Amino acid sequence: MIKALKTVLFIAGLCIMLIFGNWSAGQRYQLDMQKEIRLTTEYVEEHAENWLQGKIPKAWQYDLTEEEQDFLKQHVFGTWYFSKRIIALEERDEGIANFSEQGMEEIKENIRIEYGRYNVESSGYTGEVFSTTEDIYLFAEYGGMTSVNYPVYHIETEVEEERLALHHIYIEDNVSYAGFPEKCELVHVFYDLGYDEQDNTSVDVHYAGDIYVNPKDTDILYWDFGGLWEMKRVRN
Amino acid sequence: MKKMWKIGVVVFLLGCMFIVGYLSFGETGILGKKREVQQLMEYSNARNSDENIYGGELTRKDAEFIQEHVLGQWRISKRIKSLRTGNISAKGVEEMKSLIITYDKDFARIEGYDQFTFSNPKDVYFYNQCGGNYGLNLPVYHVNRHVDENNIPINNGDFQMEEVAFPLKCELVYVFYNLGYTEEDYPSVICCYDYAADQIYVDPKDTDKLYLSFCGLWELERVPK
Repeated sequence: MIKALKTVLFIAGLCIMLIFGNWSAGQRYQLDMQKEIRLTTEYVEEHAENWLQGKIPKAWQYDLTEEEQDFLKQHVFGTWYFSKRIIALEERDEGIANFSEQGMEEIKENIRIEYGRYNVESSGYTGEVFSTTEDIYLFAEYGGMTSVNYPVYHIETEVEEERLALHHIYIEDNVSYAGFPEKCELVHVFYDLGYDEQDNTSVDVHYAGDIYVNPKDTDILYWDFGGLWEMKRVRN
Repeated sequence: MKKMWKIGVVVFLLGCMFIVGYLSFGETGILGKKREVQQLMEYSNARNSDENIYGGELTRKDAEFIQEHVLGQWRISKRIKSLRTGNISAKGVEEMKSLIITYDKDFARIEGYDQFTFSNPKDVYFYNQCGGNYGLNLPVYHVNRHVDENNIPINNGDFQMEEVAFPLKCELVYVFYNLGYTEEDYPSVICCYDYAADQIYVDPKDTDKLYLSFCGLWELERVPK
């Protein structure tokens, strides 16, 4: 009888310790959870000021002097067509980096790019333009399908013409380097959204925002788009 | 001596049961999930500019629902409804089964897509037009429990919208994500009209299947961890 009682007490003791262990873990979890909630709320409060809540201005002339704004109006704003590719990208094993010959003709025939104060957009792209999967893929990857609203322009006059940085989808960091094939001093015009896209809700896509301008010619520019292209102004 | 030994064994066994009880709580897994729900809810709502325009704020119940039913990795299993026009070809449907869609509180994207995914140029075109090659950073999630299963809007690759009836009998919950603001009002990137796989229909009774409006209506299966 006493032995049976001892056995029951022993088993009860084991169950109580099991429950106590579970309860202790639960208590610790509650404390950890409260800490997590506090950390999350602090993080949100710290970052909410930076997140897009109407605080990013529509600032097309952001960071630009009046002279620079005039430069943009003379050399960049307007509609452009593709004349020829003057720098091809280095081909890699991972995939085809350059448009085919046929693809380039299809681009020249159909695609126009418009740079403006309030937007940058391409036109002419439809399902009938390209004949190969590779060219359609590249056109999208290099930013041909993407428009930018309220682009924030920047101008850089110190350009290393022997070492232009070009966007390459198959190279680490997506940058390859090539020398400009003609002798002229270039000005680098580029646009972005004016805020840190990694820290705000944003579309994760490349938008081909690098342009090179010959200050002596208002009817030609050079665009980094799957290599470097010479673009000519569309005259009405 | 014998008595001391017996007491020692009893104490040891009681200690073991305490440890078993503590570990069996599985607190690490539960805490991780609770943390994810909390962050999903707070981040999404903080990034949502105007709930009247861009979708309502998440309640904790909504965040838990998304965490359980949506977050994770998914593979396309089959297309369950095609459209009148602008469809990906039958071969393209098979080629899409190699893609993995990941929904996370910090991003949404489709992985595995490259220039060798499709063999038909039209499929590449439709896929891109429906936003397949774009991801979203820091998406703002929303939940809508009022779904008309007989009229599910789907965009095709030709900029046209069709309304289709859901082919299976079940009540759906609509989960979608966006930027939390309208692109026309801010410096922003515009690409087509959809983001990667942003219109999701959920059967609340199944955590391992989703239905995706993406140039047709697709069934997705969860990729096991």
